[in-house]
Amino acid sequence: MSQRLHIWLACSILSAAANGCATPPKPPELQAFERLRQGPAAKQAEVVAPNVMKKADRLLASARDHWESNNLDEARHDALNGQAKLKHALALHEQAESTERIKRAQRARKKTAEEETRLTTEFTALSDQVNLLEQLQKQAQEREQLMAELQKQRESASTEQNSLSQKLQLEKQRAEATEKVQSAEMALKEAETVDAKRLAPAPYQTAVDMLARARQEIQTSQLDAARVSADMARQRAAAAIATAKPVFDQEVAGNERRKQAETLAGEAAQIKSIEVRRDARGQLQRLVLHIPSAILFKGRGTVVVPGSQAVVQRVAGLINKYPTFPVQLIGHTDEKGAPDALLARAHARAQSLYTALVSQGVSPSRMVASGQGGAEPVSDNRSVSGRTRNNRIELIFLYQ
Amino acid sequence: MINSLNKHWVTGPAVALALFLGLASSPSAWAGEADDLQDFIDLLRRNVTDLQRIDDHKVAVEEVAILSTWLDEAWRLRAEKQFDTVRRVLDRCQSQADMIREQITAGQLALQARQEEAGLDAARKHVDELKQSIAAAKQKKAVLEGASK
Repeated sequence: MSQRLHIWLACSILSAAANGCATPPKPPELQAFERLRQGPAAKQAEVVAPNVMKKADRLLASARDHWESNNLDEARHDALNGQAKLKHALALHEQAESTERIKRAQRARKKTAEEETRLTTEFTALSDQVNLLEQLQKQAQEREQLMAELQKQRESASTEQNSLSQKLQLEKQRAEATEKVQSAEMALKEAETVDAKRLAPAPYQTAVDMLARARQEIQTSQLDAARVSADMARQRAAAAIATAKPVFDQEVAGNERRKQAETLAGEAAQIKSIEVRRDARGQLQRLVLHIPSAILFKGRGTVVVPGSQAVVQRVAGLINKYPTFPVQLIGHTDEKGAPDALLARAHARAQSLYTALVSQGVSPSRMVASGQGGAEPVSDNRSVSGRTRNNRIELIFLYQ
Repeated sequence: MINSLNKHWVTGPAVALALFLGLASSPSAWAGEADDLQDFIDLLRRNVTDLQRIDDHKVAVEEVAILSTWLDEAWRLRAEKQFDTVRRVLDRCQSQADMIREQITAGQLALQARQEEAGLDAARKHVDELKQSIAAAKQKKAVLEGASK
């Protein structure tokens, strides 16, 4: 019994001793520390922070010793302290990595910035060139549009100008034709002033017909034909004028002469003792002033007596008042005597009156003096009164 | 700059802890040890506040929380007058605080790296766009030049 007790006690003592000497479970702090130490970052931290890592490793070894010595509080304390050191080293390693990253990034950033600057410069230059080209292209497009617009306007203007030119040409032709018609009208009016309708009926009528035709042609815009017709009308009117004018002028002048002759005859009739008559010899009209010789001469004399001065003056006044009439002085006698003597006396008396009238201011060139003797009696020579009447000076105003 | 600040910030408490640990072994200083530990715990708590303030991107929130837990533990152990344990815990807290500062710095640098890389990516993208624009402009120029001839 006692032997069994001794065996049990021995086993109990041995068991207690075995229990007291056995390694206790590893504290979790130590396990965590070891895991952290075995990580890949811890090896890299050795390079960056070797001193701190040595401290951590010393603490790890101390913690393990304490744990193996079953001194768990100390093991736990060293594990925690070592973790702090290890984390410290890891933080330094992380700092070194970050610093390296920063430097690397900054270097790359610098290179990138340089490249960026170069590319920005290149891009700016290219953008400027592109902008310039775009502006040039835009300007070219605007210029093309402008040219097209101008071309369109030019074509439009050209068309309008052509139309206007045609209108102008037409109006010019119309104006020319109208002007020629007016010219023909003027010529026709002029023809009418010389009574061409009566004096040159053929060309006048032709001119009238051509003028009417020209007017008609203007209305129907046959302007070339109108010009030709108007020209022809004007030419025919001119021909009518050429034909009619001399006749018309003669008629006018004759009428004028006749009127003057009428007036002259009236004034001459107022002179005492002078008879006035009119007659014609062919186309020549004659206003004859019958001046008795007894008024101018004494007996068979041929000198103008002074007492006849008043009559001479009045006759000279008439001749000067009507200066366009040529004047003929013809001396006449009765039939008593030799014809040569009668002719000489008649001539002498006509010449004497001629001289007397010249002395009163009558132009000698206007007068012609001659004697007829008794060849042209105006009364019976058998009576005294008849012979007295035949002795005379005829002062004749000639006109047509 | 962050590193220099952190280094300056690190050296103060580290020297204080070293002095404290040295003095703590002296019997003449044993009586005031509780007060010294309290001062050091307060100093580390203020440091926790600073760490939370500079951790803009919240990269060390969990680690800061652990640090706070350890400081609470140190405070509790100090109240239990387990001064040796308190010193070990504070030593660990100091390591944790150092580690947190480096993690924050690493986070900031990582962020800066990401920003730089993002800027680089954007710049490269812009370069690619520029290349495409240049190619298009060259093609357009060729067309315009052809049209003008």
